[in-house]
Amino acid sequence: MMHSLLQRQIRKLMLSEDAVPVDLASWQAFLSAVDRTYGQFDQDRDLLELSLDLTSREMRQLYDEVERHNEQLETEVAARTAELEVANARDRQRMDELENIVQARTVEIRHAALHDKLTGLPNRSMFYDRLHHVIQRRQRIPDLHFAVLFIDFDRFKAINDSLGHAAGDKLLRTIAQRLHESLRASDTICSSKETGFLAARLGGDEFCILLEDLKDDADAIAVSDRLLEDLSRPYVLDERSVNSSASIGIARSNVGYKSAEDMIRDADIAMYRAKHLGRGRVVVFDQTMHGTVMRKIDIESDIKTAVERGQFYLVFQPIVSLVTGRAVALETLCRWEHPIYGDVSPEEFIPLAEELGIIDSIGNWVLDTAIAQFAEWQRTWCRDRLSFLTVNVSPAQLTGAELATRVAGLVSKHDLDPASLVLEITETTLTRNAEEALAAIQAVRARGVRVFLDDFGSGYSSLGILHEFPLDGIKLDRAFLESASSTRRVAACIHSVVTLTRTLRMALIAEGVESYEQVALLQSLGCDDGQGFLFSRPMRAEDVAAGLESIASESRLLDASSEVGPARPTGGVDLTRQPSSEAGVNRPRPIGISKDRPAIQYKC
Amino acid sequence: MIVETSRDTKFETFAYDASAGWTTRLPAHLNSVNTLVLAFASPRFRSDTAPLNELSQAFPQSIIMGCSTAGEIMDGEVHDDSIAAVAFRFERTRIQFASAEIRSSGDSYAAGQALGGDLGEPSLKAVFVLSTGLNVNGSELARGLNDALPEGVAVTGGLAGDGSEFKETWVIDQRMPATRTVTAIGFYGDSIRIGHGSRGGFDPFGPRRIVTRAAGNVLFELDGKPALALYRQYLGDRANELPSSALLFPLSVRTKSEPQKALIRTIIAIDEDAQSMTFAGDIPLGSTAQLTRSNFDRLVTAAGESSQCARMLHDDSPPSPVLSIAVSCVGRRLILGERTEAELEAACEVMGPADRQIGFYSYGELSPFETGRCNLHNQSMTITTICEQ
Repeated sequence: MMHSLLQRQIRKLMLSEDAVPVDLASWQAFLSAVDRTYGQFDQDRDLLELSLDLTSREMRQLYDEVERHNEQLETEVAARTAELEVANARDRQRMDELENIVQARTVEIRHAALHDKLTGLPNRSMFYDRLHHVIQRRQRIPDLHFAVLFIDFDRFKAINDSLGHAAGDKLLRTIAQRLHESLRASDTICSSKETGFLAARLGGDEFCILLEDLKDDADAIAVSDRLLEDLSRPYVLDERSVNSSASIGIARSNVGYKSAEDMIRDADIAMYRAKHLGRGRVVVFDQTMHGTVMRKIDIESDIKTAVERGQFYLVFQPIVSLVTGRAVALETLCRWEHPIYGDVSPEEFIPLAEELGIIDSIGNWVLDTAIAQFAEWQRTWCRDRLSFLTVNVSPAQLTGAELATRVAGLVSKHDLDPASLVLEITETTLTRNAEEALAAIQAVRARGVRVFLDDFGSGYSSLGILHEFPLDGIKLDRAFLESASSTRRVAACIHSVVTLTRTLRMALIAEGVESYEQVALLQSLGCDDGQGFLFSRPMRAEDVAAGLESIASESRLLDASSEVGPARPTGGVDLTRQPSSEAGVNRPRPIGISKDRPAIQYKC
Repeated sequence: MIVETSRDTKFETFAYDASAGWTTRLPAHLNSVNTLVLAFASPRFRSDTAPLNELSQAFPQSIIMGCSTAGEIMDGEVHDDSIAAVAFRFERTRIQFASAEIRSSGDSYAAGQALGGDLGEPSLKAVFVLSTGLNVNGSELARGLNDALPEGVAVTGGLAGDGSEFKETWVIDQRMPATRTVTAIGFYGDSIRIGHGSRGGFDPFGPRRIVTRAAGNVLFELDGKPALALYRQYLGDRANELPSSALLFPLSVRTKSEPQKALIRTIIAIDEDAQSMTFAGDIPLGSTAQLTRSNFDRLVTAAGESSQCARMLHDDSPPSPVLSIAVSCVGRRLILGERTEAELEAACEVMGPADRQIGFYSYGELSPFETGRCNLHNQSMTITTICEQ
């Protein structure tokens, strides 16, 4: 079959497949069409070949480009990967470093949380934790013996105050070190299986030691004795040798403690007991101590609020003229009525108040209340009968001009004649800080208030004091009278004091007068005034008026007795005669305490 | 040839040959105010005005539309130096003519809008457009028409040709050739049946290239290199036939926004000074372009498919003759050469015995993408079928 194109050409030119073209023009037209077609086919062929070549080349170039691009990419990826690996390694190293730092820091923090910074010993928290575990262990193993030692360094506060905190810190570090060394050495003392110990600082100068796995409870005492010995060796602080001791309280596992708190508390109680018994001791806790210590803890806590709660009150003890037998003045004394424990002895609460630093506020309350009271009495009934009131001043109050200002203020406030107020200051107070005391005394006297030296002759009485300090009077310590009857030497001493005070124009009051013999002696030696149970115990304010009346009436008795007995220099008192109980019918009711005054440096 | 399509409806195709004159007597009896005369003429008839004058005299009341071509199509044959014409008298369909001036391709969108504005009425069913083939951006023209006309109005047509000269194209406006004009005819009413189909038959080849420099329908660079140089390389000896020879390698363009839709773009001009190429439609910057090449068999098959698609609409209609207007790209003719008529024959094969084919080789085809809005096509065979019921 003929090609369709040729067929179409033949048809279009109106030729026939079966006949030769009749004219030349038709033949030429046909040939021209066929020629065009061939030419076109050639062109198409050329074009196709050209485009195929070009496309192939272009595609090849593209492929090369892609390959090149790929290679470049691969190179870049490899380089970047290497960079990343380096960076990763660096990061990993940094991470490791950071992790190490974090770990070290964690250890540090954990150590800091559980250890005392100053001494490096475990702290309260760690000690409680360890003790807690041991207590729990004992509940599973009843045979387990362990003990808690509560150690208090006896003179730490004094050393810290006098030598400064740096020395105090050094002392604590030394104590810690000695504890450690001593405990290591004690390992052999304890014939235990494997004695474990943990020494901790609970705070201040309080240290606790946990002795684990003791063979028996007696081991704890052996360790404690060793500790006491080691701790009492002298300490060298700032090139000074300091001596001290420790008190140790022991709580033992045989009590069957359920909590660490209880066990430490009992060791603490035992330690207090050791201190109370005279320091440098070891005391093992027993149940009877509990109440005593609880009372002490309560008192320590309650005294801080006792002034504002109105638990303090004043009592007054008359000072009696040995010449007339009548009361001429009153000494003010302070008492504390605790809501649970009743009257607390000044011997107990005054050192405590001094230690806690609240003696000043108590002293001020006493001054204010006493002055107000005496001013009122003077306005109402005693102006002609009592010439002055004495109030004891603590060392804490005796600082510079402050005391004078305060006293003057109170005197003015309550409208009291300054001349009718006397401040009693102990000998120790004067010597503790002589300069400041002197200034204070001068300032007080400048305001018209007098100053007596209290308890003269109780300590290392120095006559120097009498001329160093401008004093208005002396109160002769009771110790003179207690021994007066047995020795003439004492009588001579009293006589010298009498002479001295007269020469220096100072008043003299004998304390602790309890018998007529003492009255007679004092009278014979020329001492004009006295104070003591013979005349009256300290009285509450509301009893004072009646009490003074009673003394006045007794003074007649005193006069009456003067007619019998040996010769006497002035007036007369039967020194052999004891006052009958009947004789004291009108005497004021004794109050509160067993002694008329505490055996302490300062009384209030 | 007179075709009695029904009792009243008539259309007749006829031709003019430069050497032989009118092949038949002009069917002047079809002249009416509702008659459309289409004349696709060789560019030579702008100066040789006699045949168009004769046509105008024969159809004094009718609407005469037409344009210069790159080949006149008539019943499966292609001719040069001829006029292929049809007179179609509508009985139940109203027709309306509109024209708009295009001084430069920048006016294209506005011209489309103006035509749409003139013709847009509720009963409008279809619009057939003939535009000057140079100095126009067919894409923008189509966009202007789409924007002005309601959806559902089928817009088809083509851009006038100038052989393979690319120098001067014209359309018939006011019964005279006009070089800077777009003309359109609107069909109104329910009796009109318009079918359309468009197929290409070009396959992309070679590397994909990025449009790196372009402005509107002017392309400067592909992959950073002058596009004109690339074409020269591929055309070899035939580069001296530019711009027409560039039709051998039309450009397939995929935009970034619609990468799945490849549009074929035909070159219509080159500028040696600017090293640029002007295409019949937009070449958006950043889009992907690829050279395409023809495959003879596929070109022919595509022509048949296009005709099939356009004819499908009329298959269920009563047996009435259908006028098939073929607008095929000059590029296809250039490639097919002596085989050009194979595609026209393929298009005719699906037609009924009474149907007639008329048309022209163009510088651009207008037709919707399947059933969507009108778009400019290049290198395609676009068939519009018309009949009235």
